[in-house]
Amino acid sequence: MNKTIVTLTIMLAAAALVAVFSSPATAAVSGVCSNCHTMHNSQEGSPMRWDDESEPLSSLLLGTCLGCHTTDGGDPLGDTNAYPYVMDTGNLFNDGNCLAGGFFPNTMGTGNNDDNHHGVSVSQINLPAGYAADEDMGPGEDWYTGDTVGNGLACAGSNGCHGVHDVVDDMEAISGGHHTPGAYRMLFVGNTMATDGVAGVPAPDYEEDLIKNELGTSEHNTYSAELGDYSISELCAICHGNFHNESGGPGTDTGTASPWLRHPTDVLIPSDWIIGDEGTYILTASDYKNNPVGYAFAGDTPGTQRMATCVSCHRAHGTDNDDLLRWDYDTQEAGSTTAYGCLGCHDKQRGS
Amino acid sequence: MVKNILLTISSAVLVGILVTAFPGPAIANVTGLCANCHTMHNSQGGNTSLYGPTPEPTLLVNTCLGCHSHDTSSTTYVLGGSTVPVVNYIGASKPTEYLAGGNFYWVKEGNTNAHDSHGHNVFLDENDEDLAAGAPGGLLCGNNSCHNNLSRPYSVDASGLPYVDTGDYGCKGCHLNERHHADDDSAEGVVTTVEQGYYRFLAGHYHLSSQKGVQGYEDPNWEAGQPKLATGQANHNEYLGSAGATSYGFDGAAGGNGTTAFCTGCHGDFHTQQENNQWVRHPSDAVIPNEREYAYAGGPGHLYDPLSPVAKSIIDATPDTTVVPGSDMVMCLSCHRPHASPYPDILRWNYDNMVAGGTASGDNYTGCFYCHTLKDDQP
Repeated sequence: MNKTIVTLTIMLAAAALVAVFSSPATAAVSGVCSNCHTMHNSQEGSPMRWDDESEPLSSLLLGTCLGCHTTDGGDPLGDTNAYPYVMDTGNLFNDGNCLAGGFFPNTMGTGNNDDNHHGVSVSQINLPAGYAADEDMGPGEDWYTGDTVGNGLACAGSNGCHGVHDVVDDMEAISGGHHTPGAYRMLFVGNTMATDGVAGVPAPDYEEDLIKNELGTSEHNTYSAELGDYSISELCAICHGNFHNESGGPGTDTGTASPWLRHPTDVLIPSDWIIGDEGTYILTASDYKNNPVGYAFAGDTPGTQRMATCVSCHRAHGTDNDDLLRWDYDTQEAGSTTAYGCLGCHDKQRGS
Repeated sequence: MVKNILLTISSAVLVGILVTAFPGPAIANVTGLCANCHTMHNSQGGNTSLYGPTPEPTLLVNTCLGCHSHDTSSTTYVLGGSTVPVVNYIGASKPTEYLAGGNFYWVKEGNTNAHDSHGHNVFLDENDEDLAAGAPGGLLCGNNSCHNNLSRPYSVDASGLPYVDTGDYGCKGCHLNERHHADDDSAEGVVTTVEQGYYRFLAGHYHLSSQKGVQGYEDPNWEAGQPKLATGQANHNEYLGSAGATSYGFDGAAGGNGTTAFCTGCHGDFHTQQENNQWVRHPSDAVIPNEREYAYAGGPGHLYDPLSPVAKSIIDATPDTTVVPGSDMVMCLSCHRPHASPYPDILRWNYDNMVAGGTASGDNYTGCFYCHTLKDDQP
């Protein structure tokens, strides 16, 4: 049977990877089924998987998450602007040429939190930094809920970030996400897809233009924040619980007010702080790139209700910098005229 | 009579001023890498114990004394480009130089010549045997508060009092309004507002609506080199006095805005100095008379001596090089160092060397005799 015919005759339930396989203007994947799927992982006796492995992938996919979302061309959104790439085989991605989530290196680390990326690998079996067992996923739940720590860190599912967290398989965890997008970047703070999706407004081009050109016309993500909401920081806290107060919790992780014990997230930035180059609470392209704040409702018009989020400082996948920071921490010097990074928000610590 | 006067002096106020700014030599606000002092999550390499198991407030990598102690310098050291004042020398032997506030070396248990009476003991659980009844000349504030001692966490219900948190102790008992990053460059050393952190972060805590603190001129080098600084120079702190003060502490306006007002927040009785127009305790924030022996304060040239500082009625960015009888004031810090000194009662000099009428001790115009000149047969 012709491979193409086979591909076209079978409907797929779901497929999902680290990010959406969409064109820049839409979040849902469109295009020929065979771009992504194989019905039997077989063609003329040979496997169809891009990595030539004989074991078929779930959701009948041709590639793993990183199999599809890795390029060798150096363009984070590809020639057709259809595939968001998070890794480049030539290590051609950098802080000025990547997507909003950042990028992974070719060689994954194993979880030392000096690393500049999340080590998506079976070798990453260390506890996450700030890990607070049972705190964020409920009694008896761990960051590798439903699986074992021995399977390391994955892109999605019980051991990963994307999708729901009570299933092991990456694709099942983000089931339907590529074709019927719901949650922001297929991220969920709980295990019920219908209700637990992270809120947010994704930039259609994953901020490729913003990061590369910092233009006023560049699209940007808008992140959710505020304790009690399904915020982006709430998601991070599933693994890094000590770094985030939980809604209704004791507030002992970061403290409840200044002086803070750890850097707060999901709380209001004082309205008299001037973020980067902003004017009247409207962030500039540089601010969105280097100091994106969150809002109580991600679709809100930005205003004084600005909050720090985890991704205000970090990129989720990785960066050129230690601790996955958006910028080199060693550039943050009180008294300097730097207006991004720590000093992007802490304007009183800038010099003149 | 002389003995009585001297004894009176010895019982004057003892109060702490932790010099906790991290500025470079010429400015008061901290500059340098954020990472020098802060940790965002108290976590590095997955290990929270690098900076201690419990995160420090304000995301600091260390405690007050953790940053302001040093084992080779007893005055300042450089941390990542910023000059840090040292208030607690942890070297092998006693320091020979220190800052204006003195050095906690002399009150730290186990150190040579250390004694509770030599300083304000800010070390956790190092009980001060002299404080059974609370701060000398003070009032008890609950069962355990910064008015009673500085070495035990406060257990009082401090709700509603700005800056005072249950569980704090030590340096935070005096330095209530910590503003290391306050941009007071334009003030050229003159610090007067809450936004600037007040003088050396010393503030009252009585009412938020009428928040007050110490005003003064901060020497950019914290008078490093004490007790050997030359007289007649401008490289010294300058303290504000209030000769018209009729109360103590910062409760209301009657206490003034100087260091004496702050000291008397804990040692209030020492500001009750006159009965029937007679001195019953050594005066503080009292004008040094331009008459009798006081007219010769500081010696023939009236040279300002950082070893015997006086308070000024007006503070500006140019510290005076002389003392002005008839205008300048004696104050708590004229005799005492707020952190610790080599001498009992946190005195700036050895009280036993204050010998009236003597000429061989080399004490002319020093200590008590800086003002009481004729008691030492001067001029």
